[in-house]
Amino acid sequence: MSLLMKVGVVVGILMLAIAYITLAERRILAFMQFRMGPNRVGWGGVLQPLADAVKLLSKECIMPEQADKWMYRTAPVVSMAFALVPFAVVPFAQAFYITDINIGLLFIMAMGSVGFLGTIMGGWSSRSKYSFLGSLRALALMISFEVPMIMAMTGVIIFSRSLSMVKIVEAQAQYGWFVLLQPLAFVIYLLCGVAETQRIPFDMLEDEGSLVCGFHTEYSGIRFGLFFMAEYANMFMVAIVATVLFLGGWQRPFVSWPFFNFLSVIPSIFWFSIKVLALMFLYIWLRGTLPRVRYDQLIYLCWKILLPLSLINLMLTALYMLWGMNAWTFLALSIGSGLAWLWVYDKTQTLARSPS
Amino acid sequence: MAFLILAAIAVASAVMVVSVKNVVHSAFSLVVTLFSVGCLFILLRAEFLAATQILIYVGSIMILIIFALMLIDIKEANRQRRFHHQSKFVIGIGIILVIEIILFIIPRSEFIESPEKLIARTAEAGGNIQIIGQSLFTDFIFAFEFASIIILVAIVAAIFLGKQPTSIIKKSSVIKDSS
Amino acid sequence: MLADYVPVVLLLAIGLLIGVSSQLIGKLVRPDRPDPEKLSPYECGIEPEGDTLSPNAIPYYIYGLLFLLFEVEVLFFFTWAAVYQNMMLFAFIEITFFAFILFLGLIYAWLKGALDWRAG
Repeated sequence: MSLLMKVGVVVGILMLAIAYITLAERRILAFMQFRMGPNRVGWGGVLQPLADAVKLLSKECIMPEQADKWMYRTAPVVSMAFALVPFAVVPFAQAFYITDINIGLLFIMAMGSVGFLGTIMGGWSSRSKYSFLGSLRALALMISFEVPMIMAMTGVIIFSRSLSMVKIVEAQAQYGWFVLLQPLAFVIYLLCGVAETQRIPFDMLEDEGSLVCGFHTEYSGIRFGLFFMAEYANMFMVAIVATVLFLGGWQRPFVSWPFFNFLSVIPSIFWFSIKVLALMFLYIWLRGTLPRVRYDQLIYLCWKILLPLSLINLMLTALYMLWGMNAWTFLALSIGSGLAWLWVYDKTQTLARSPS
Repeated sequence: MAFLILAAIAVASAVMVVSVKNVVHSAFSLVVTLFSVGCLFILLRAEFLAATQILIYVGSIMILIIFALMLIDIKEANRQRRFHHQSKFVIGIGIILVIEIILFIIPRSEFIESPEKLIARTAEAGGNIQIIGQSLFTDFIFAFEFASIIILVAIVAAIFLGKQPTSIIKKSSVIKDSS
Repeated sequence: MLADYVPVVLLLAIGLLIGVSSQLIGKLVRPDRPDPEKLSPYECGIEPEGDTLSPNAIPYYIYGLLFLLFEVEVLFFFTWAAVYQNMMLFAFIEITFFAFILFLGLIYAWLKGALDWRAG
């Protein structure tokens, strides 16, 4: 397949996926809250995303009078563009990826961190207190959670010996899904992913109770639409990276057991998309279930729980490789040490709270 | 070709950094500069360095600079004149640096290995990052461990400064005065 | 190797194009009827008060500093992880030392209360 065609297919499918995940989210949330959700446009609401797109395009774009005009216009473009770029290195199926670069994983993280700048640009340039505070808060949170996130990835890289997304998936044919070897890292990654994409329960960006709508309070019309699309593209990216790193990418389940070879009949793109969609459902489910966490609690979760835990996980993995200990022992050790750290942390909290 | 475009962007945005009146604008021009320098590293086949440049400089140092700008009174800072009498002095230093590069650095610098050989060796090791890892953990091990201690010192210093918020404000007002 | 990056540039261009063109196309169809009330920054319906860009980022700044330092360390872990299987024991000892110092830094920050949230 030629390069242009591949890029076209990926971008097209991504746009469709973003459009329909919003619909799916609204329907699922409605189902969880005993409502109907959008069901008027088309059969069961299937044309709702189209209607939303038309609405966003034809809506007036209000720009606050004091706004920094060019930065206000550029911010959504930056967010959108850098949310799209990481999809270049994703292996969607066996031998289907746009490009495979040597530093794939690091590249995704780097582009993500450029995308953060779109947030602060939007928050700063609209000259509104809510936007400004929202973007500052969100930025501090996103960068904080990046540290344990990268640390959690490192455990996987020890096994795969490469940062290339394709090689990471291929390495799992040998070791089995990395979630079995790195359960702690998987949990850390998922939590960080929720924070990075600013979803409930960690959505300090759009804390509507105290910040109205966070950094895009002043955005309306298609500019808001661009931020919205970028947010969902980022969500997909987090789910995809989790799939590639921990759930075997496009590999079938039980990949290291020849007994299940018959599963290979099903094309690899199916396995990939089912895993990504399952993770997306998890995110929507979290949003439907959990209340928002307080900001300081979230900061503590990052620095005092996830960061030490990811360090412990890394050292345990290094030990595992060095000694070649039993995989079950390793599994028990990493889960046990995770729980142990939580217990220690809980003790320090109780000590701090009790009047001495 | 790609080099020329990227270099032009880098230089143009660097000029913006010092000439734009609004401090936040100049901070974001610096983002563009650092990003295009990162892309230049890719042209040099230093992928890891490129990603690191973008992740560290654009992703964290720039965010830190922006946080620092939020600490100061931006309107007041924008009102300051950007160029004082030191501009002549700075131009002088710039000219001396350019002469130095042309006369001394370019003739004396040479590759430790020929580029072709290096590319072949990189491909053999599996990539840029593996080569860096190997040399970091064999030849430059002392520097590596020393780096960790430097970072520890930096953490201590950062906390010390952070414990006294007033000192940061004082420092930033010093920056404001000289900008 | 450089050819691997062409698609990246292409996707970046597409992303920028989507962003710019959707704003431009929107300009053709959307109404544009500004009035002073609409254009004032949103403050829950009250008249906007005081200066928007008041300096208040000190707690964020400290997290930013700590983040920068830890990020640098974490990137060293990446290079280490990629070659760990080739060097094993030696690399293990080195990284234990490195991680220990990182951990010391974290503990120091913790004890000094730098990780505690102080509303700005």
